[in-house]
Amino acid sequence: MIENAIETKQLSYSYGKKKNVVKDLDIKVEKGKIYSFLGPNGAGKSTTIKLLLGLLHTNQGNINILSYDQSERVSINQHIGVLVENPGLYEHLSGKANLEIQADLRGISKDRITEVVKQVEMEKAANAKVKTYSTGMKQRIGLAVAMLQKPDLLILDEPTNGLDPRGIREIRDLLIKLNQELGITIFLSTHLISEAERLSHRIGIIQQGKLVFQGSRKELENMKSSAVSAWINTDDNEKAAEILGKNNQVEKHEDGYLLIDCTDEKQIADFTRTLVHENLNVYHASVYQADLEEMFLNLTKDE
Amino acid sequence: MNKNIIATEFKKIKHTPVIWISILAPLILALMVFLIFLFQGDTLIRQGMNPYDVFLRMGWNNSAFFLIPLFVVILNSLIINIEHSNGGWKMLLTAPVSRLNIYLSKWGVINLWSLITHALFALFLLILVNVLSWVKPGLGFADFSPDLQSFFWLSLKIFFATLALSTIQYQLALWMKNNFKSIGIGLMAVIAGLILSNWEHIDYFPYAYTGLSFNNFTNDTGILLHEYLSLAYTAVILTVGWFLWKRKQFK
Repeated sequence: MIENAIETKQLSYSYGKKKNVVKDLDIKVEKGKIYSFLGPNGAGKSTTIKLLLGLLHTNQGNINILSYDQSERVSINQHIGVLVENPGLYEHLSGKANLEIQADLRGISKDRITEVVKQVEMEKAANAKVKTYSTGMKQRIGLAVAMLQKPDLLILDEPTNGLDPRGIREIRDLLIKLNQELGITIFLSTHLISEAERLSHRIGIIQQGKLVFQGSRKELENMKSSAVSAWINTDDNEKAAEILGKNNQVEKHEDGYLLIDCTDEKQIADFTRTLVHENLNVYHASVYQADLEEMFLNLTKDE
Repeated sequence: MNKNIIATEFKKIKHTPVIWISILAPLILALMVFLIFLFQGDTLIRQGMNPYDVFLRMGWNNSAFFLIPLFVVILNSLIINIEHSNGGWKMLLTAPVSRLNIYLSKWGVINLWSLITHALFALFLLILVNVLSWVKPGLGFADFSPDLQSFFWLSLKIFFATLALSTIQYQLALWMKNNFKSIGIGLMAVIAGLILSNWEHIDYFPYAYTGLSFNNFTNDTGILLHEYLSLAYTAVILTVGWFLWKRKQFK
């Protein structure tokens, strides 16, 4: 049996009028792997991470981290390193003073601070106040904080956000190194499919609060090439949806078109024949190759 | 409460206005009392009065009604704002410390800090009254000595009288990201306390407690009703507040 570093069961969260910010998430992060949690902005990535960290309380579902239940927060926090959206550093203090505060909270010696500062290559600027730092520097100190207690699991919310290409590459290399050399499991969120593909063993994709894919990089590749849908428009789409919905997954697109899952292109001919047979006028029927990257571009367009 | 958290809380206060307010405010206030006595001591201290006691009481008289409660209001908001303004809650809550520990330690640090400020003020008053006795021996200092016991008792009573309003402000500061709001509400409540000072039920209004402790003080007063109430309010509000904050969502 493979042990999971993170396992959620039907994790759901709503607040106020916003129903189902995330819905029924079953996330499985294997130990020793890098897992990318991929999705456009607003899909529920940050909410999920805040649920995992106990900053938000679950409405429904279960979270298990490193074999601890979500209620055993202090135990969980002893074994994880965390970097949230903006690293939550005290701007009026130096990077080093921030690390000292975090080290004191965890009862960690000062020597370890020197080590992590070196690991994230911030030796030169460690004594400057955080408010003078660039985003990348803050991110590094944030990572240094996450590394302080030699965690088994790193939970990172958009760790490369706001970095220049060089910074992104460096953080990426650092994460791979931490994973390979120290065996740290890494769960990170990102809205860049390229990042997820380059960095991770496993990928979970979240859209509008739902986990639409979870699997290895290879499986993602396969899915990219095989997924086909049919675009159909008729004079009575309600009825068409009812007819085709009997045997297929039908989704109603916001502009009225129907998007129907199918196994291959030939099936579209069957769809039109069935509809014509039911006396519906078919105005449009076409193949929609659900190229994941393209799907993703569409999803991230409104950023 | 946890020693480590308390130590880190003190580190965070470094390089913030909190330090200056808590050192400079009592110093300036004590200096003002000193200057008043330096120039008008003859009119304030009449024949046969203990000049030490007149001076020390004047110190608390000038602060107990308005400035001390206001200071406690501001202190709560400023210290909690260190977390609000930096997204520090997330960092703190993902450290291996329990929420209860964080909740109690922060409350502890704020009130410890307030106690230190009260003590500093008392100390500054004591130093300056002695300076005055050298500069103006003619005010009759030679015939008297300060009643230290009564002075400490009054100082302590005033501090304990702040705890109820401090705990209310603590809750407001925890929930209101904008510290102008919590300070504004506190300020209005302090002013209300001044306006209502003759109200028959003023004993139940925490923002008036420091003034009440001062007004009703004589050398042999024990613990007064509102001082018991201050501790009772503190215990109740701190407990109820915990059950609310425990469920707080950090978006």
